Amino acid sequence: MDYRPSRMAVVAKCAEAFIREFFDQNPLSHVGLVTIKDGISHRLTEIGGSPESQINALMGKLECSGDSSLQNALELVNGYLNQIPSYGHKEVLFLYSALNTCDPGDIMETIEKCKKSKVRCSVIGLAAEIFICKHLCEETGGSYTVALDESHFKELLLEHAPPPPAIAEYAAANLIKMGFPQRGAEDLISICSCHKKIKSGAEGYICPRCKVNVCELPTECRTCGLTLVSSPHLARSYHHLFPVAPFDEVTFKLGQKGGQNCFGCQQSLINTGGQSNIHVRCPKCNHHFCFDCDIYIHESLHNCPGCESQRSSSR
Amino acid sequence: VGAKGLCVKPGGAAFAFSGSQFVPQSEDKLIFTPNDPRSLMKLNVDFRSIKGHKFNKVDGSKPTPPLLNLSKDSDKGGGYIFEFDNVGNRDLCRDFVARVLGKHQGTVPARTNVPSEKSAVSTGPEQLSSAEMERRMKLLREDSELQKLHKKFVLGNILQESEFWATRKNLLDDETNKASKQKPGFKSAMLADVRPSADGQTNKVTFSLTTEIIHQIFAEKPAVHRAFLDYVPKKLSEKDFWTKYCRAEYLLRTKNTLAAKAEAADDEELAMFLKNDDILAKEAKLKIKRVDPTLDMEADAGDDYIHLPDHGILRDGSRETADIDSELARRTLSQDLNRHAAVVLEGRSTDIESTDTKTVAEALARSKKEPPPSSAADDASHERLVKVARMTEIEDLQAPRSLPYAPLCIKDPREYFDSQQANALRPLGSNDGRKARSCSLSTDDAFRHLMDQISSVKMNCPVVQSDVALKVLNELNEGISRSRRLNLKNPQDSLLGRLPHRTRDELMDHWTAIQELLRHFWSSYPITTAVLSNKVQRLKEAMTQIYQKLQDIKESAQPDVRHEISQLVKPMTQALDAAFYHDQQQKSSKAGTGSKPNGF
Repeated sequence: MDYRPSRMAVVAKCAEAFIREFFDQNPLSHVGLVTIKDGISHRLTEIGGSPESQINALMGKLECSGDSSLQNALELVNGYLNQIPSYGHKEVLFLYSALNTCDPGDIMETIEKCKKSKVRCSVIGLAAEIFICKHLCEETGGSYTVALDESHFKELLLEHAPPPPAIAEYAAANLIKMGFPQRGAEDLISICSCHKKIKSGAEGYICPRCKVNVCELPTECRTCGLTLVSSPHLARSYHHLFPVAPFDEVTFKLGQKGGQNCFGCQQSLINTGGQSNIHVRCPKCNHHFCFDCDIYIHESLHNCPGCESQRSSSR
Repeated sequence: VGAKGLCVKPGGAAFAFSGSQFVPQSEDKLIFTPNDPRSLMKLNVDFRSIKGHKFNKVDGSKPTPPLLNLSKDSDKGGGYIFEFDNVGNRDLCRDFVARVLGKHQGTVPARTNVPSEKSAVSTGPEQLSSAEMERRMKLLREDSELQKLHKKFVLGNILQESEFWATRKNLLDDETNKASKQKPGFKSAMLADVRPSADGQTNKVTFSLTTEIIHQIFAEKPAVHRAFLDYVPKKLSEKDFWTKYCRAEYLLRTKNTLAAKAEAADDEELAMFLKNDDILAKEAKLKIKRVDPTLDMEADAGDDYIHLPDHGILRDGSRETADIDSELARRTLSQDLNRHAAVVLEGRSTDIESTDTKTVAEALARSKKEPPPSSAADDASHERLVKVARMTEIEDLQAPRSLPYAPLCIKDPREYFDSQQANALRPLGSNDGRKARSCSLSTDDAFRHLMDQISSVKMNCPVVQSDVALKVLNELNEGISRSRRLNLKNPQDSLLGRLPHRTRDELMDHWTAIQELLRHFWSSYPITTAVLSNKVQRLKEAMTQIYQKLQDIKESAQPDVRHEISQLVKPMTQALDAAFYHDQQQKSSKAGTGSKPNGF
């Protein structure tokens, strides 16, 4: 079953969904796009932190022709990723539909180079499993999967959105200076530093170090180079480090005190009519939740309401 | 230069000329005359009134013609848009306009005796390649704003040339440059070889060879390469050579041995194509000598040149006699595949620029390395053996190789808060803030003490009068809703509606300059070398100058626009103030007096 209307269209659509999900999970990260055409790879967009510019490029006319060259793409990407500071993790994700790679030289050397520069390469194949892709992913610590059809492809792609565990040799811990800007006052005028437009002070954020206006967060201040984020952005990245413990499944026992309503949505957990009364319970705070709240807590909220509402002295 | 022009006057009327001459009269004026002698329209433009120029990028996909837009003073609006017949003409005119504009505004971008030599402190004249110089000049020509900045700072000795361009690396870094360094590889589709197209009516078959394919043929079949260099153009013309080659390939493919033998007997060159490649045979012999004798030498059909004596043991002994007899080659697909792979792994050394096969052949011959002396060859081959040994592991039998993960290590947050407490306590005068203060109050005592303090505050009358509070709230609400209404209507105009465009543009120019200065200022901290401190000094002087200028503008403004000017100037002065304050703080902390809260 091949991809309709064309592989290019399917890949572009799924890539757009991936980029949105990726920035949702990792607001402090940057993404760039590269295409391979006729044996040469071209940069589609620069590495940046705003999803809009990437998605605009995907919505434009994308053409594909000729052979694909894994080596050329890896060399190009290596060149761009070398400019990333050492505390950043470098990753490449290939969406590969060709069945071969037509390279100008020895691709094994390029793979060694990637390994040395600590780039983690993953591949999602659309056609069949290829040995060189598997070798590349194994050497650099990435994952290689092959999609069976369109929905499977989307699923595999979205699995790459949450950050992978950091590989010991690649991770370098550093202290990074960040600024938490506030919005300007409503009645003041300020001049935006990215577009040079005059606008009301309330429409942007003021960098705490150089007092210049920036349009959106997270970004790097153009004037003083400070990384500017807002605390929800940082919190979203933090949640991947401290995930909520998986809840245990329990059934309702007769004579049990409490646990009759879901602690999250207050709906009754007791089903009349003989249906099974399975629900979940947090192992730390022992509160009971229904399945909907369980999914919501683990995927969106990343905090257990029961644990948070306990007094901090007991923690 | 033939062009079509559209003149846009302030009122919005547009006059179109067609088939006219765009004649740069002199460095001062531009005369635009229509070819049609009957028309009386003539355009005589003084270059001094042109303030900026813009042009559009032209690519083949869209049908827009190349345009050049000369904009006048933006206060009155208006300007001229010229539509050209082809891009080359437009580029000529654009370059000319850029040069003239530059002259009028004081720069001379055509000649760049690099100004870094003029500046007071130079780190030695910069060694710029001519390509780099070209790119910079091109960028300056294309962007008049950049040109203005360049003139103000670099030629005004505030910034050095290298510093100016350091922040603009992404503009200079030609993307096409990077992409063009890549070379496409040899296609393995060639192995199917050049398939002839047969015309159904006649008995002819046609082969088409491109330079790329010819390059590949030379790389993979060194005997053909040698023959080409020897025979062409002395004995055979190129066309004849390739005709014979293609005939040989055709005969080989159809496996018509009798016809092949017959033709080989007639034609000497054809015979050469049909034979085995002796260069490869020699190389294979050399290769064999370097192989580790403990390896299994049982060769199979995948190896090349198995017919050579003392090259492996044939499994099937019966084929020996037949092969040695005939001189004609029998090549199989796997042999071709192996040869192709060997060529690809060696890497692609030459770039194909020319279409002339003779030069291609010679270039390839030059780039071929002589077989190295035996000692060096041994090292190289040993390395290769190690690589081969590693790659031939059967992966199913290996343990899964996953790199170990970094364990999460979060320091105790109490450490951070304790150190902060020490920092906070230090200015209060205690010698060592780290010493924990021993408190001997119990909870009850503390609570009672607090209650006493609160009740001692006289709370007879409310802190704020209620009607005054209401008035203040109402006014604040009104102010906020008013400004929000104005924002929704028309942001740009209503914010600074009464400000004349000229002043606004002037202030925005100042703002661009301030941004540039600030960017260089903030990037020079922390100051570690004398060069940086010198740079900061120069920047501070420039910033003070601009600050002064802004104050003057504010004071000399007319009363009706003064409020708006001061509103616009405020963020600029705020940014400059922040920079000055930072500089002061750095200086005082270096002198050792103040304490740095939070390690800033």
